This record gives sequence, C-alpha cells and structure tokens, in this order.
Amino acid sequence: MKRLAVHFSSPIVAWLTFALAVAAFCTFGDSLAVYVAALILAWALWGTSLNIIWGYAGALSLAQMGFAAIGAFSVAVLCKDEQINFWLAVLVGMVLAVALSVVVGYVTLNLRGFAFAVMTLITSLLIVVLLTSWEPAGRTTGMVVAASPGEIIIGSWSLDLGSDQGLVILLAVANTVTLVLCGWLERTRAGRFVVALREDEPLAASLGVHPLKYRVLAFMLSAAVASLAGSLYALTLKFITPSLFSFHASVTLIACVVLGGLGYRFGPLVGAAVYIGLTQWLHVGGDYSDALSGALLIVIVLFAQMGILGLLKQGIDKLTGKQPAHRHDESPTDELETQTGAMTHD
Amino acid sequence: MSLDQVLTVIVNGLTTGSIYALIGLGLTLIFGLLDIVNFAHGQLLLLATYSTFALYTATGSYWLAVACVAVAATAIGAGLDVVLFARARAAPITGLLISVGLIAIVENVLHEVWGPTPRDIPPPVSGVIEFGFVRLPATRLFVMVATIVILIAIALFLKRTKAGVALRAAGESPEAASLMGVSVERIRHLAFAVGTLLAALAGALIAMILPVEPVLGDSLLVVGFIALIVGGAGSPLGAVVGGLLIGVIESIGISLWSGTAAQVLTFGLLIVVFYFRPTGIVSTAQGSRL
Repeated sequence: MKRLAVHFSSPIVAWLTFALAVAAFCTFGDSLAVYVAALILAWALWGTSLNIIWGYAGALSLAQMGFAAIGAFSVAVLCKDEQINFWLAVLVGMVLAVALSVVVGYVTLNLRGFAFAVMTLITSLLIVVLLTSWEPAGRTTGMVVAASPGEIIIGSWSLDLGSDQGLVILLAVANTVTLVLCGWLERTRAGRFVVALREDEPLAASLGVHPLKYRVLAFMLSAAVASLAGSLYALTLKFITPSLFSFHASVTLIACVVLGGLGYRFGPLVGAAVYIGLTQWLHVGGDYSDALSGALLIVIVLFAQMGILGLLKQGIDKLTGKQPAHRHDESPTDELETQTGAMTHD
Repeated sequence: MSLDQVLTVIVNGLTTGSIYALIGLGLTLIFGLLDIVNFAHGQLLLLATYSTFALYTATGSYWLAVACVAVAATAIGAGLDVVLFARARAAPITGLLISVGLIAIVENVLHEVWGPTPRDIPPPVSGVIEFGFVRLPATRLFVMVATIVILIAIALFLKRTKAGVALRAAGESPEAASLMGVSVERIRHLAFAVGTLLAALAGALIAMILPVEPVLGDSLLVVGFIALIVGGAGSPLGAVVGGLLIGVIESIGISLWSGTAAQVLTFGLLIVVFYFRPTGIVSTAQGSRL
C-alpha cells in the first residue's frame, strides 16, 4: 500500500497520466472533445498563473484576467495583418503584462488580504475599460484572432499548430514547461522565500527575506504565465471580446484553482479538467449554467476547501498512517488561507 | 465653462455620488463587522432595482414597491449571513469566494428573467426645478433628498439605538462587546441585513438617474469599493464622503472628456489616496482595517 501511495503521488505518474490524456484526446477525440481539451488546458495554464501568486505567495490576485486580456489582445491586434510573427506578439504581451505587474505589485503587494484583491480587481477592470474604448481592439464588438503559431514538419508529416489538435499539443507543452518551471522554483532559494513569507511574514522578514521583493517576483512570473495563457486562449476561441476577461472569468478561474487544490502544483490542471469539463461538456443547466457554476463554487468553498488533490493526499496519508504536517492553526476553516497544500512534495 | 454649467456638473455629481455613498456605506457596515468584502453587493442592488420595477408595474404604487423590496432585502441579507457567510467567519477569504459565487448566480438570474436590455424605472416625480442658476430635474432632487433622509436614519440608528451602539461596539472590538453582553453573532447578522437594505434602497433610487442593465453590477461594486477604501475602510462617514467625491469627480470627467476618462480619473483618485493616505480620508480611531 505504501509503495503504491508513494508512486501514486509521484510526479512521474502525474506526468504520464497527463501525457496519456492529451494523446488520447488528440487521437480518439472528435472535434468537440479536442476543442474542450484545448479549453481545459488553456484554463489550466491560466489557473497556474493564479496558483503562483495565490497558492505559493498567498495573495489572491484578481489581476489575472487583466494580464490575460493583455496577452490575448496583443496577439489579436499585432497579428491582424499578419505582419508580425505570432510568437513575437506573445512575447510583447508577456513583456507588457510583466511591466504592469511590477508597477501594480510595488504599489499594492504591501497590502494584505482584501485590499490586494480589490486593487488587482480594479487593475483588471481598468484594462477591460480601456480595451472597450480602443478602436484597434474592436471596442465592445470584439475581433477575430487571425494569428497562426506556425506548423511542425517532420519529414512528410506535418501538423498545423493553429488547428485544434495542434493547439492541444501546444497548450500541453506550455503547461508542461510552466509546471516543470514551478517544480524547479519550489526548490530554489527564491521559491522557498516566497512560501516562507506566506507562512510567517514577520519571521521570514526577521531572517532577512525582503517581503515586497519576493512577492513582486512571484507576481511577475504569474503575470507572464497569465499573458501566455491569454494569448493561447484567444487562439483557441478564435474570436475575442473584452468582456471575456471581465469578472466572470475570475469566478471560473478561482473555482478551477480551489477545486483542484490551492497551492498544489497540479491543482489547476485537475481543477480545470473537472470544472471546465463539467460545465462545457455536459452543458449542465443550459441558460442557467452561470448560476450553476456559481453554486458549485460556493459548495466547493464550503465543503471541499482542500480541493481534489488535498482530499486525495489526506486519503493517502490516512492509508499509509502518516501524520498530517504540523500546522500552527488547526482550524479547518483556516484551510484556504494557510493551506500549505504540501506544495513541496506534490 | 460658465458658472451655471460648473454648478450643474457638481450637482449632477452629488446626485450620483449620493447613491455611491449608500453603496459604500452598505459595504462598510458589512466589512467593519464581518471583515467580509461582499463582492455580490452590486448584484444584490440590481436585484432590488429589477424587483422594484416589477412590483411597481404590478401594483402601480412606487412606495409600496419600495417598502416590499426593503423588507425582502433585509430578510435576504440576514438569511445570506445565517446560511452562508456565518460558516466563513474564521477565514474571511472564504466569505469573499462565497460572494463571488453569488455574483454568478444573481447576475445569471437577472439576465434570464429580465434580459440584457437597459431599462428605466418611471419615476414617481417629474418636472424640472430651478434654483437660481441650476436647473435640476425633479428626479435628481428626489434622489438627493431620499439619500439624506436615509443617511440621517442610519446615523440615528448607529448613535441612538441600543442595537446601533452594540453594532459599533462589535465593530471596534468583538471580544469586549461580547463581554458586555452583546451577542456579536446576532449583531453580525444585523449588520449584513442593514448593509443589504442600503444596497436595495440605492438600487431603487439608481434607476431614476441611470438606465439599468444586468452588467451594471460590476461597475457599481467597484465604485462602492473605491468609496470604502478612499473613505478609510471601516468608517461610515468616510464611505459617504468617498462616495460623494467619486460622484463629483466622475461628473467632471464625463463633462470634460468622456465616460472612459471619468473611470480612469476615479481609479486615479484611489491610487493617489492609497499612496499618500493609506488609512483613507477619514481615519478611524483604530486606523485602516484593510
């Protein structure tokens, strides 16, 4: 049992499952299944950006929609007449988002809790407001995304990365790179500092960790990932409006991250697969699907705060007789804020 | 701009500002007592607007409609706190997530029941009133007078009644209040109920000066947040001052440039206040709660 548990929770198994799922979708899935897979992966990448700043650094950012909007509209606007390479446009979006995150981060990351959430929300809404009154971005009507990410040619076999299959592969690679990067960062000095600040800021600061500096670093990374996610999301949808990046996006985003397990490296991927899969594929509720996903979020928050991976880990710990890691505060309702999510041993 | 134009712009700003003040005040009461920023405040407000509209057309009496909505809103506010938010006391972030879920539910229902087209409520008063230079539509005067009455009522409630004093005490120090025999949990339900009532009243008033659509909730919520923070989170007076200030700034921005410019100006105000006076314009004794 113990060996099974160890293997089950090891990243290799997680990666294999991920690769198999992607391969299965691309080979056997019909066009709808492939499209849903692409959506899931786009939301997973987006969720990972939130997980970096919320799960690792402990600050709930609502600016992720704004950063993604920057990425999406960079691609849509710059590639409109196919003058600029898609990847250059992606890079422009990421640079813009990171620059904005530095400015916003330095002003707001000293604030704790709500003030940061509210300030980042306002950042997002400001971006959306500016986009809706900007002529090249099509104002409120939106615009077609006519960008092409190129194609892979190996001998006689070729794959257009702009097709749905190609997008799934592209998004899977983007997710993999980001998650591997996160795993590596968890073990670096900077990564440990960020987590230490979340756990006990006065203690970490007294040991010489600069709180603002490391939080801004985490925010920059999360902005870059969010912008990339926005670019690829735009490519998946092929038609974007500023309202896609309004407050509703954050409802879905938060639901994905919490459902998967806040602070777990694979949490957003698992959460997005279940949540997006559920709402997209089953088309539950029809006209009332928004209300249903809102209700689902409330249920998750009230009854399954640890998320799927958290519950899984708890179950495995129980089976193997391992004591749960020590926490300062054992109050179960504190879970969301303090949950370490055992991020360091996914 | 001539003097009467300037005056008109300021008076218009004060009208919208008085509604913002009600929104900010409701958010402040909830935040001060429960440490929860209710993200669904704007949507509850719109729910009240649409219900007032429906009841008004059904019964033909504006006052009856407003009275019914006010009672219902108070009950809904208390109910939401008892059923949902009371479970989230230990971790305010849970409360925030619950309110985010509520947004999706209420907005979806509004959209399905009343559709996306903007609406006006036929106002109970009409005509134009002139004060020297300023020509003021009666609806705007009505909104301002109503707001002043509501604000006086809330001030009397907070200062003169036992429940109001208990509410302020619980906001200042829950432990001390509970040692003095205040049932803090009940006071929290009360604060949520009063906060929602204020949202509902603002909702009934707003349709007189703005066309209302389901997506309006988000921008109203943001204005409420800004009023809350600019005023110095936790201070009722600050929220009112903040709300009025935003109204005037917005009105100036719209008349000089455009609606977008007005929004950018308000966000700018928030950033400036945050930077130079993080505790808000009106600081409370215990400092900013944020």
